[in-house]
Amino acid sequence: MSRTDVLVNADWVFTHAADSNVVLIEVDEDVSAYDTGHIAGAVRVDWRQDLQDPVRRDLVTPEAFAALLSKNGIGPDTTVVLYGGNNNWFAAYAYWYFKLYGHDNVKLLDGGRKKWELDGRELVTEVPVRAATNYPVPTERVELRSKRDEVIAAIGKVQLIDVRSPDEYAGRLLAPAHLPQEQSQRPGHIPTASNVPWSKAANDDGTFKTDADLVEIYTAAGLTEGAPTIAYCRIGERSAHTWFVLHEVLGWDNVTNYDGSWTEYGSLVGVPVQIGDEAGSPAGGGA
Amino acid sequence: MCGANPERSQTGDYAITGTVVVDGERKAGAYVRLLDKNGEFVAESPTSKGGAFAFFVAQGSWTVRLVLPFGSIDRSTVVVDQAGSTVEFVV
Repeated sequence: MSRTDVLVNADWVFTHAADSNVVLIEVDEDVSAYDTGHIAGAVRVDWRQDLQDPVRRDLVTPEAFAALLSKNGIGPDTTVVLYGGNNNWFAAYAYWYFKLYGHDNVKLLDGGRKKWELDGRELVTEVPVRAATNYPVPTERVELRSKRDEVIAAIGKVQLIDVRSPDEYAGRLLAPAHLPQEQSQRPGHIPTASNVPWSKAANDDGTFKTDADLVEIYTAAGLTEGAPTIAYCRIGERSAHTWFVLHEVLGWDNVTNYDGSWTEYGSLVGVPVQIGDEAGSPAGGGA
Repeated sequence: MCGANPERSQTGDYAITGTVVVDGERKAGAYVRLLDKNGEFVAESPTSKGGAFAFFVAQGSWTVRLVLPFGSIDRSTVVVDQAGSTVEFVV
């Protein structure tokens, strides 16, 4: 896997505008953004309604995922191009999701909605109609996802990378600065996790930095290519962005996304927590 | 840079708010970033329908950056108390 396999630009989108085997999907944190205008031909996936189980906190079932793709006219051979706002946070989350459920023919529009807008490109309100398909029920690729018990067992042994902002990492903040401060019961981070905010990987316009710059950023933070690595953030979307960089753009193996992330870990009873700017020891502490 | 100092305010206690005005009109969907005193990215938000933005912060020095198609505009601001800080961009 490399950058050219997983990232496309606006020219690519234009070139494939009439290709019925290519489906653009917009995924935003602000799910109303699509209604104000989207790239011509793009369908919407609502990360709350379509990508979260309606009852328990989890991914939707394989059956529900197959139904979502079928409804949007996506088949197993369809090329899916994801994009969204917030520097592609939720588009990257959806990308991880598609890979997790075995849809490998998926790409991300570099820079997402922001770059598209900054470049003054056209957005339309017309909603495309695609003939439904009968997408086969997939199997979850568990090797792309980490769950809480694996994360607890990984403390001090596996590369943990916390991609939230430094203030969230240190425990001075519970959520990104532009969002309401809520969620986990405790602030801080998982002991021994390094802090490389997701934003390090992106330029101001939301595009990804060069491979050389990315390697420098992560190796400078002490990460080693090939060693088992778990990325997490608050709810798993920013860490999907970093997972995308490490696993898809740079092609590092053994990288997973802990989608339970801090909202789960920071509410667990009896697990070690580290407060402050230091990674800390496995036992946690600080304050 | 340590969170252990009890004298220090907590991030999230105060707010930097403002608006973006382009060609005389409040601009919705403009991209505004918050950078810390070291110039490091902290957060980004598109402006609301009324062209407004808000960031929860601690006391101290911050930079608010308006990202434009061909560059950006930076405004420095200092938050000293609960009145927070207001930053206006007029382009």
